Parts: sequence; structure tokens; C-alpha cells
Amino acid sequence: MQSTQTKIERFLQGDNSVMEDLLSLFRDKVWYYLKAKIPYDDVEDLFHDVVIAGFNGLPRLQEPDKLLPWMLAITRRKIQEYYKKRDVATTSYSEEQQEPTYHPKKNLSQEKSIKLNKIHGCINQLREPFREVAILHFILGMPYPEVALMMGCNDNTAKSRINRAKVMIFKCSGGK
Amino acid sequence: MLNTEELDILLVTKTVEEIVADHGAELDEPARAYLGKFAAFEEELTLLGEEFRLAPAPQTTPDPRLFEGRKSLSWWRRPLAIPAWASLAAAALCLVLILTHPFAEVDPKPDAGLDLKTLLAAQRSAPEEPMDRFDQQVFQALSERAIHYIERDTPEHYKLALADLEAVHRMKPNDTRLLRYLVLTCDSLGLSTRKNTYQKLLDNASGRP
Repeated sequence: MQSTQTKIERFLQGDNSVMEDLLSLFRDKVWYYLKAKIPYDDVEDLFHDVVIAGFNGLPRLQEPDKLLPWMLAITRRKIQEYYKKRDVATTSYSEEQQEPTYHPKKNLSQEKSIKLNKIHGCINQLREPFREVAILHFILGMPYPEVALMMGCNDNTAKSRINRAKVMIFKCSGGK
Repeated sequence: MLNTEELDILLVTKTVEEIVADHGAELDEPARAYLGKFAAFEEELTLLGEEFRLAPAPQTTPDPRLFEGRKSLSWWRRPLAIPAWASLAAAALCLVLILTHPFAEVDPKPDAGLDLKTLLAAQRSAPEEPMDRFDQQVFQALSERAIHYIERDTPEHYKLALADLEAVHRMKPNDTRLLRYLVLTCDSLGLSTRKNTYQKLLDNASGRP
């Protein structure tokens, strides 16, 4: 089993066979993260931008073990650029345009879909750092230690933020 | 009894089950209903995450040609990524190139074969010899090439220029312009003896003592 560092070094030396292995280390997480933050129609385009930027930037990655946090940092930057461009491109601001849309995959009732869509909307309305931890934990399914690593804080702080975010989302989505 | 604000604070540090276990006596009916609603919300939140993770990312891999420049990018930053044998081979090759490069050549006898008396005699014996058309063309071509080399202003090019200038000098030993170029070129190459020789020839050709 090769380490991430070995795979990166092989890729940098021109070995294309490790690309798939490297991609598998962050592909799904980046995909879910994008889905949670931008409108679904644009996810695929931005995903490819992120992947290309990531591979191009690999020579600058200082700690290969932190490939995933590093890729998510690139993803965050791309999302910021995406919204910046959209704000410039669109003449009038529309709340609806800024809201990522949720597409149910299971056979859920319409009522349930609406409820989940509302919860998703509430996650995106949270202020930072609660929005970030909510996406990492509830959407990407990262456990507390991984969220802590991503956020650069200790496990207890991550847990506390996640739980506070949960209460905020509950209030926002109709919990009285 | 605990109100919703107090429950919210407790929910940050405890699960619903833990609150019920630890504060059961302080929970009235509305508080229990609130916790029940929160537990249902937690399930919905879990479901939302599962929904997101149901559809995985597209399993496409980017075209490797997009990253063709990666070797040059990485080498200077990651010298340890280069195998040791490759580094040694590159170093040996560089050493061979440096040692065999004309820049490193040291001319042991830079002025060998240049006899001032012979040159002066040749200069005097053929001062006004007319050149035929072919010689004229050769003279012109070699002179231009020599000047072109001098303009490049590197030791290697001065060496090439010197060879051309000496060739055309034999065709026109009294040409003061050529002699000036020869003096300049020898000076640039540090060939002091040869420079002095051409300087004397120049003085002689231009009538100076």
C-alpha cells in the first residue's frame, strides 16, 4: 500500500497511473461539498475546475497527508470565485440564484423533500464557522476529529460547534 | 422545569437521551415534546446527509495531457524525488560537458605559427595585389561572418571570428580595418602576444613608426 506522498511523487514524475488513486482520496468529499454549496447545475463544471487546479498545484502541497483538507481549501476558493463571478455577471441579485438546490434521491414524500430542502437552506444560512462545520459533518459525513483537522481546532471545539450548528439549524427549520 | 432556552444550551453538550436520563425530573410535557421534535429533526438531518452522499461524484479522470508540465514544476521543488542514480548521471554529464566545452580550452601556445617577420614580409610583398571576383566574394563573406561573430560578444564567438579574420588577413595583409578587428579580437581573447603582432602590422600598414 503506497502512501499518499509516494503517489504524489509518482504523479509529479509523470506516472499517470496514480491519478485515479489520488482522485479517490478526495473525489466524493469535494463533490458533496460542492453540491452543498452551489446550484446543482454548476457542480460538475466547478468540480472539474477544482480537480485540475488540485493536480496542477500538487508540487506546492507541503504535507501530503493533508491532501483532503488542502483540496477542500481549493474548493472553497473556487466557490468564492464562482459567486464573485456570478455577482458581477448578474445585474440583479436574487436570493434564489444564490441558493443551492437540493435534489432528493430516495423516494421521499413531497412533504419530506420540502422539509429536507428547508434544512439544507438553513445550513447555508448559518454564519461561519457553523456553516462550514455543518457541511463537513452533516453533509460530508466527516467525524469530529476530521472536522477538527479541517477547521484547525481541537476535537472538543469541533464537537461544540457542530452541536451548536445543529441547534441553530433546528431553530431555523421550524423548531420552536 | 426546564424551558426551551435551557434545553437548547443542554443540547449543545448532551444528546437527547442523556438529557432525558440526567434531567428527567425537570422535564414537563412541553419540554419532552420539544426534545421529541429535536430527535425527529436529527433523523431528518442524518437523512439529508445520506441523500447527498447517495449520488457519488462522476468517476472520470482528467486528461493527463493537462498536466504535461508537472515534471519541470516539481524538480526544483522536490529534488529528493529524483532517483539518486539520475542525479549522479546528470552531474557526471554536466562535468563532461564543462570539461569538453570549448570555453574551457586553454590554448597552450596561442601565438604559435605567427611570425612577425614573415607576416611583415608578406605584407610588403603583396600590398596592392588585385583580387579576382571569387577571392573578393570569399573575402567579403568571411569578413562579414567574422564581424557577425564579434557582435555576438562571447569568447567562443571571438575564437571563431579570429579564425575568419586571419584567413582574410592572408588575402589582404595591408587592410587596416581587418587589422584593427584582429587587434580587437586578440585583445578580447587575452592573446597579448598575437595582439601586439597585429598591432605592429597595423602600425606598419598605416605608416606609423
